[in-house]
Amino acid sequence: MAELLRNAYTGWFRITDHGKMMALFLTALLFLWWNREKEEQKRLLYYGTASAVCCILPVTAAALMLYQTRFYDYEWIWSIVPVTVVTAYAGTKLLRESWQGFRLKSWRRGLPVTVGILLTALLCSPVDRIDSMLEEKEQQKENAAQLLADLERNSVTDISDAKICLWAPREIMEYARGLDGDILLPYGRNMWEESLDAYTYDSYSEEVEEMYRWMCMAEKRDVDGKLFQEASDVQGEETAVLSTKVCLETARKEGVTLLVLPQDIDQALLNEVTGFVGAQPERIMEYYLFSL
Amino acid sequence: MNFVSESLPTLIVLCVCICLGKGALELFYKRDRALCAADALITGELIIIGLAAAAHVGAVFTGQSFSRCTVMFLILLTAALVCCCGLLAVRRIFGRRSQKKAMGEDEGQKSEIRQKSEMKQKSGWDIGEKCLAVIFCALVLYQFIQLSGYAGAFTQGDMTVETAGSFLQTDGIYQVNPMTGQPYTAGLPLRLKILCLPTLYGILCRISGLSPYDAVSGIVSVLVFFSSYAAFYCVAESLFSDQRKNRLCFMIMSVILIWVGSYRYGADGFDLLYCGYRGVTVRNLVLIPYLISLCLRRKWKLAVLCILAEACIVWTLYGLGACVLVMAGLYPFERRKRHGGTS
Repeated sequence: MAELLRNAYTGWFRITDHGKMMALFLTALLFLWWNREKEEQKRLLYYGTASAVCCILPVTAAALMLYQTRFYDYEWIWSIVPVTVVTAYAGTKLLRESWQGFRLKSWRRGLPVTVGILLTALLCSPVDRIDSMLEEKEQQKENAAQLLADLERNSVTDISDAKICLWAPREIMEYARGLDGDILLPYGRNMWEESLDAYTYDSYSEEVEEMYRWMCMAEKRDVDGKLFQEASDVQGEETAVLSTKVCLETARKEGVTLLVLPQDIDQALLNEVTGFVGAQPERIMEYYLFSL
Repeated sequence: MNFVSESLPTLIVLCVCICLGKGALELFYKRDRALCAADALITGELIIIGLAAAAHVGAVFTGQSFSRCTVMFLILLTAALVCCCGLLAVRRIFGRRSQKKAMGEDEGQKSEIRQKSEMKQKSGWDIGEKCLAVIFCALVLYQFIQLSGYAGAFTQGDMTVETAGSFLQTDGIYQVNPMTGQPYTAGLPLRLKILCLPTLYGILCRISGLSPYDAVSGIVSVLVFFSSYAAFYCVAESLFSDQRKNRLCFMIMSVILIWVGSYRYGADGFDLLYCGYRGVTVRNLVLIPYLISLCLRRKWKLAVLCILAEACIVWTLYGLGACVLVMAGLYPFERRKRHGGTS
């Protein structure tokens, strides 16, 4: 319960951290309350205010989080608050008043208000940050699609009629099942996205988790997916205990047929894998491909 | 996003939804002029969700294959379409006859002409309205291009695409873990098992012949995008029923706010533009705005349909989700108004 309350308390700061949509919404509510005597839609105003207060106060927010099955994070309790509707309504009323019923003659008063609203909207949204993240994701998806298409054409994959079971870096694993339902994986996205664990009672064995950690090491990332900046970061991680041989044996036990490794893998690690497999890897795009 | 292969199925789904919705609106609210095409579109979608839920739950509890579930859904959909078309045709024929009977033949023709000219006068757009409409369309078009660019790239927190793909691959419902493609070892929660969205998307893939990625992040995202603006239009209708400029201004404000809110996962704008196919997006951007408009217009029967649809697509507390709270929140103010309160 204490954790739930803490989540409810910190949740509000979390969602107001970056963009200022909430500030815009609260300003809209304030504007509507200020003009409430002339208000035609008091129901919307009362409901919008009551629901927003419930989501901001930690105790009521915690109750709402319990109500939404605890499966969803804090931000989803804001589903009940008509943020866009109330803000758009207040904006429309403000524009109607400033343009005096949308008459072009009132441009002296209306135009500055319109420009002000547009500028405020621009300042309230740091869209650049999300654009670069989405571009990166799109690039990853295209890479994964390209690699999967190449795998189908590649001779190494003609092992048998059995389905491909792929063990690859995280950026490939993330999109593999969505792009091709035929491909099997030893672990899925729920390995690094805890929220997805709610969709199933299944869990991964220690050995499979070890495989994930080993692949992170090969990718020079930590388990949260962040790339290491320096060589000392890699040593700082508890990678010494991860045995390549044990992980590859687990992979075989899990039915992995193809192993994909990043091009910038540590040479010693690559040699270990080559020694275990007993064959030289093929090169596909920016990856090494082994048949297990 | 492949426009050529995806636009035709999208148009067909839109037409089916509108046809179903018109029939249902005719059934619930006989010739209510306050209800528009946007209402028909969303009502049609609610019906399709209901039909998919019936087919899905039926298949899950009787252990049917996914192919059988698809057939079951198609039978239900065809039956619903036939009923709706029949109802619309019957109402139109009998409506005209009774109208003609009520006033003489000539008088009826005159009044029809008069009505048409009145309608024409009413629907005339002045230059300001045209400008606002053009701005709105341009903004929507820009967002549509943005939506097409990154469709399906953001996967965090959802596995609908993988689930639909696993249904198609195994021809079974929840036979394998969608994350790995391996058989379940411990299974999955029952509450999740009865959610019908992956089945609906799987059926769409099977009918259109598209891959789960293309169908879900293409067709479904586009449908949800337009449905969301249809829902906002319904809100505009209920807030400014006889002021077109206000409605258009409200729609422009909504488009801008959707864009402003596209900076964070979980915000309305982000969900609509980058993960439109998710159950929570359908709820937050179609069902809830539409429900608000229904509550403001006092259309309680359709409001109940929204609550049921949410229970079919989003994990809720025994069917009690956000829509129930919204309705419960708006209803007391409605009662207060009815009893001569301050509103």
